[in-house]
Amino acid sequence: MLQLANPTRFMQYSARLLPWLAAASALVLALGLYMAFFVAPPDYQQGETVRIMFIHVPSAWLAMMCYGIIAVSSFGLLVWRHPLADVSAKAAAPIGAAFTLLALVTGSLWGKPMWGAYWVWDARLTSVLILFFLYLGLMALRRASDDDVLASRLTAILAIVGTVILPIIKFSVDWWNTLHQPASVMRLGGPTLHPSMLWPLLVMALGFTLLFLTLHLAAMRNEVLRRRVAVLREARVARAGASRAAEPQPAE
Amino acid sequence: MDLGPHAAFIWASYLVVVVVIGALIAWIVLDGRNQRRLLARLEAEGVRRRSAAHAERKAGDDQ
Repeated sequence: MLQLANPTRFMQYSARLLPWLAAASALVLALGLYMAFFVAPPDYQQGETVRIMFIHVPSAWLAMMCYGIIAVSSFGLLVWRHPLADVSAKAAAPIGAAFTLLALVTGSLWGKPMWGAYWVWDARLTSVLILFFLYLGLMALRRASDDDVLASRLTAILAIVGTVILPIIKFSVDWWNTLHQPASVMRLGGPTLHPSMLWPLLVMALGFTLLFLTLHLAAMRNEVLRRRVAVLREARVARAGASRAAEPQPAE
Repeated sequence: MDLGPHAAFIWASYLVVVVVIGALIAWIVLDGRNQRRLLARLEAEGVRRRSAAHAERKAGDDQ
């Protein structure tokens, strides 16, 4: 693990892992889509609309998991000041924002035929919307300063403070009287879903998770390269300055 | 495949997922390509990272 935490080794190992992860994501997602459309039966209440759940629920899970990864990475940056922790946090933010947006939009498209409204100011929906704004805030704050070190630290602090939203999202359906249904998979008494719907959902969730890991790893590699480019640009400027200083000065 | 009276909502949901994930993949792939191109251009100019230059010097000393 410590060896992997070295950016050069990370680039070597991730280059080998990435094609396998991408292939596994594609395979599992293809299987999940097949199960979602051809194996899972229509729900007795929701009818065919239940098929939206197979993309909505994994998106919502990943929206939260991704924020958790950002928070852990931010902790790693603030405590150990490890550059890869910052790379991980920075790379995960736009991906997390995308999955949160998907959770909101697909939930809204499910809500219209089921609840009769695209949006209600329900505790679960509102807390996920706040999570989306938090992601946007993290990305904006990182760009707010020219001092990259300061921007990284400020973003890390905001990310850690923002973790308060995660238990609020998870327990919003228990703490408040919400229109959103309570947890039906991750609950103490076990899932309440019938296996014919649970398995397609779990396969889709695995596919989405593999896809997230692929995208995160690829985005982390891009970020490492971006930092190398920045270092080389600084080195080029320093070299140009040194060669100008070494040139003989014309006699006055 | 008959998805009933709410088929438009179901297809719209899956379409949004395809568009957003597709855009994310395209952005990451293009960004990676751009960073590799910039890095190759700088290295072609002879600019080296301190660690790479050090490794090259060490390899030269060992020979």
